[in-house]
Amino acid sequence: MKTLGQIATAASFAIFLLMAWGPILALFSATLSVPHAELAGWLIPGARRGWILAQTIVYAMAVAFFATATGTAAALYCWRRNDLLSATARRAALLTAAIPPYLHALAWLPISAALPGHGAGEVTGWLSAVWVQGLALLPFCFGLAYFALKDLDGHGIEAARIYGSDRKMLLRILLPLLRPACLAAASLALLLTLADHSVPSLFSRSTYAMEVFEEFSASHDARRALLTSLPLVLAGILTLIPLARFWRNAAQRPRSGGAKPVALEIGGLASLLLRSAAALAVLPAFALFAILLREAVHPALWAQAITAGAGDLATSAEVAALAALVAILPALLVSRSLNASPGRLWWLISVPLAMPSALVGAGLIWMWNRDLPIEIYGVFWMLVLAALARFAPLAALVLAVWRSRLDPALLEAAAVFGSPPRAFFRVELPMLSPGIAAGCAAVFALSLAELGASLLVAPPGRGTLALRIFNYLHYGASGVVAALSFCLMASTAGVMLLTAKLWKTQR
Amino acid sequence: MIEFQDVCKRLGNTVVLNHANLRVERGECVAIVGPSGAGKTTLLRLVAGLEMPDSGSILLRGVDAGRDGSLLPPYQRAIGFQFQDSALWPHMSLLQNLAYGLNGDKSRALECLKRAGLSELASRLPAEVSGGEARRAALARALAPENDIVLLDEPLSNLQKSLRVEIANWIARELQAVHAACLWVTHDPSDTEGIATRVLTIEDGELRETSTQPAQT
Amino acid sequence: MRTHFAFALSALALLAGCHQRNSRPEVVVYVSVDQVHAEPVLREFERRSGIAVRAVYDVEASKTTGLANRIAAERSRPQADVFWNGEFVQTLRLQAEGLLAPANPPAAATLPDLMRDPQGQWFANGARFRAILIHTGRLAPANRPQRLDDFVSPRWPGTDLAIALPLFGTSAAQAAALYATIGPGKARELYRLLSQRGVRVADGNSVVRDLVAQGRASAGWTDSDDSCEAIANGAPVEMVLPDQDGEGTLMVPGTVAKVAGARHSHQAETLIDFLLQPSTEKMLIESGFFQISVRPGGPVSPCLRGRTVKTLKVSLPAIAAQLDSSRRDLTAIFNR
Repeated sequence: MKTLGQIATAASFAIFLLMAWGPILALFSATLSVPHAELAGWLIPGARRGWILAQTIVYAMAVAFFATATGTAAALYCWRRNDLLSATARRAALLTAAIPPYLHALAWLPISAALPGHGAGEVTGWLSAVWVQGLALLPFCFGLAYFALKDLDGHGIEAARIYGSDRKMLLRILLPLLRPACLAAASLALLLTLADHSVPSLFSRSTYAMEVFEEFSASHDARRALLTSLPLVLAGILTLIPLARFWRNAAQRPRSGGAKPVALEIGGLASLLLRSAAALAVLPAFALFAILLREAVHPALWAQAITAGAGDLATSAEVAALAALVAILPALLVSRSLNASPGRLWWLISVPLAMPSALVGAGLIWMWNRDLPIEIYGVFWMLVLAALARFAPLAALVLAVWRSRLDPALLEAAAVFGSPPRAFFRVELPMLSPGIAAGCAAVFALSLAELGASLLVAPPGRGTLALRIFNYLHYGASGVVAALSFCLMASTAGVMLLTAKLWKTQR
Repeated sequence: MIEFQDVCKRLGNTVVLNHANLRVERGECVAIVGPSGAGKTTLLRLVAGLEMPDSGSILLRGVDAGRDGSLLPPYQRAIGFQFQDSALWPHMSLLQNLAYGLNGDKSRALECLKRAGLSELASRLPAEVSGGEARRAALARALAPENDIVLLDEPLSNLQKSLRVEIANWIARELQAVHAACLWVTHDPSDTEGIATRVLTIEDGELRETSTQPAQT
Repeated sequence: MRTHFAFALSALALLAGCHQRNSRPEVVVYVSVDQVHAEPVLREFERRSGIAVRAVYDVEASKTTGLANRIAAERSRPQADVFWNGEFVQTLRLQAEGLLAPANPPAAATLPDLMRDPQGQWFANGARFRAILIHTGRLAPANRPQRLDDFVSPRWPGTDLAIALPLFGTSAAQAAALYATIGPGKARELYRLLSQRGVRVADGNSVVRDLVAQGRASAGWTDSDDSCEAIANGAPVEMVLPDQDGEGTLMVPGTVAKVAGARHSHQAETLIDFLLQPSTEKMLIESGFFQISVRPGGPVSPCLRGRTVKTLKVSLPAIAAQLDSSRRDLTAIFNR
């Protein structure tokens, strides 16, 4: 039986690595044919590219800081209160978690356009991009901080309130205890921002990910683009160090009761800051609703959007749902090994998250556009594979973190009293179900917004809603885009609410 | 030092205290016993200001701590509290855990750790010490500020017999040194033998005195 | 209950993934023309020919080079039959890499020589052109730049003028065209002066359009489609057709090509022929994607209000040949 378990785990790993690393390795194998003399020229960025790389890293760091600081402050506000603002912020975060960054951009473009330099100047363009990308990632950061707060040792917090003021507790106990979650949030925000070029491009700012894409466009050589991207990937890898630390920290934490919500007395200014952050967490939802409603006010636009986009919306939803389901199955077993020996495996799982999407797409073409017994390239499943290649690691990471919070004694008890499959299905799986729901939701949300890889592998005749919305954005059909976005928002909100319900009943 | 005047407290549908009256004088140690879920810990939390009474007053040092928690937040009550599960902050060393309540005074914190027999482990994190050592560190944290009100929640549970006697004696010495009023929650009255001056039973919201023990000094 | 729900969801998702392939003849086209313009054209083709069109559309975030990249990446096993591009640079690049195949659509017979590849590897099917957009409130009719090189004249302060960064898209093509027509030395000097005079360099033609429309610049080089859009939106702007007393302005044709190794070769030829029909070109001019015909005397956009456009007589390959060297120079001049 043990061997069966080992085989299952090994198979899960193989499937997982094929999904996440396959495209990257396919491209790397192709670079072996590149003459060594040419390698250095492609690998080392020149002065201009170096400058863009530096700008990109600063931009990604600014986004990560903005999203994490605001998300954490909002979570601190919501954790300690049960008022209207807190309840609204929690719901808003849930509703907007699956909204792709470019829809946030749509909501804020008119405001950005009123800025000096048309919102596309050197400074205003970057600021607008940081604002939009930051708001788009805010729900993720808020969620991580909020659950970390919920998970804190309640007595530890109370002990701190006995031996010092609430302000001192906030600075010396709460924030240090939240640091791992904040670092994880910041790292994820940084990784996703480094790999994305869509939001800065809407504000006419070039990022390194765009450079990689342009290199690909100029040379039509994916190997060259891969080598060009390595400095970016390296920057991504460096950000994974705190993420790995968070994971280990989570694994070591003893199980304890949640903290009882308390009204903290931390002084007027600090209170105001937290309240503002909570308001900021609500803002994207309101801005999206307000602007989308304003743009899509004519019934004719709705009709046009629904006729044009219904099929694409269905495709997007199918791709995202399938990606979430397919990602979670191997992740169940992969996360077990990840939990047992974090160090090396962590890198193996996380690095694919830092790959620019266009390269993932090119890698998928290298991998699958060949004569196989079953035709895979050019069919619907390529979109699912693209989503998996980009986001399947996230499912394993979320599950691993959830798994680390389980009491090992309960799993050991299950192993003592039942056969391994019985222990897995009757005890382990139900205990993991909130983690499964969270992992699925994360993959679903990000897959819905996937653009760069989908463009390269979308089967002819079947596009996703993300592709259509981005195509329309260029044309300036903001009314139709707004109506399409509204459909996308409504359907994702439904999925997120369902997940939240599942989470609540299981917790 | 600690006085409950007609205090009522419900947790959900359970009545924890029903018009309870209690008075603990300085230098007095009162053991609280009772079945699980009877509200022993809640009693301590009311004193600490972590729970608010539904009605009635709680007086500390003759001053009404108030029904509204904002009147006297926990840290202004100047008490020592030892939680049943230690509740040490995992990101701080044992020394830092103690110094937190001493306004960062590390030499005093080290002195307290020495008295608890933990000076060798001062720089260790809570996760790096045994359960018994963590328990002693948590006790040291409660006693270190030398407050005249000390609340202890099962300080000896899950400890070896030999260690229990040793720690009980240490607690007694520390309490006596500051002449503190102490509420000691336990499920085993023999733990407080020779230390507690009185034993109160809490059951169905009622506080009843069961015996008076001579304090062993 | 929950298990049943999960199973039902999984089954649904799996079923959703399976789609029946149509048995009628089909053609696969990669489209780098805005979907909103291209889709009605392709529907019309399906209706008339009975051939099912399976299209992939490009997005602006990839500077509409995503599908050209895809064709290159698929070179070992081509999937596309037809590449329909809104401009010509990427098409010529694919041709240079041997990724296009010759076609012989009857409708190409009426195309001028400059608008088709002699080997039939690409054909133009309607065009935009480079224009100067003027803010009517800031510049009186007698005081409007009429030529591209007016932008280096001291008559207009440099900071009142705007151009798009000439490294991408049609702005790059315009620079390459200048290299090809007036020579690299003169063209380099023109851009050097523009940079030196402090002419505003925006990141795209649509940004130039907005700068002028909002009165934050008096005049700017941009594309005819952007100009017409600003006019249609009621902005206080006017479009000047540059260099009409000289060589004419650069025409930026859209191109159609058959992909080498096309699986549906016959259907590809049919689609290409349809896309080259004057009636198709008219549809695209009416929808606002193109402004002028590639055939002399063909239809023009109403936004031109009856004016005819004199265009530069230069071959597209001659422009494409200058792209790399002009880009190198301009990267240095504009410090990018």
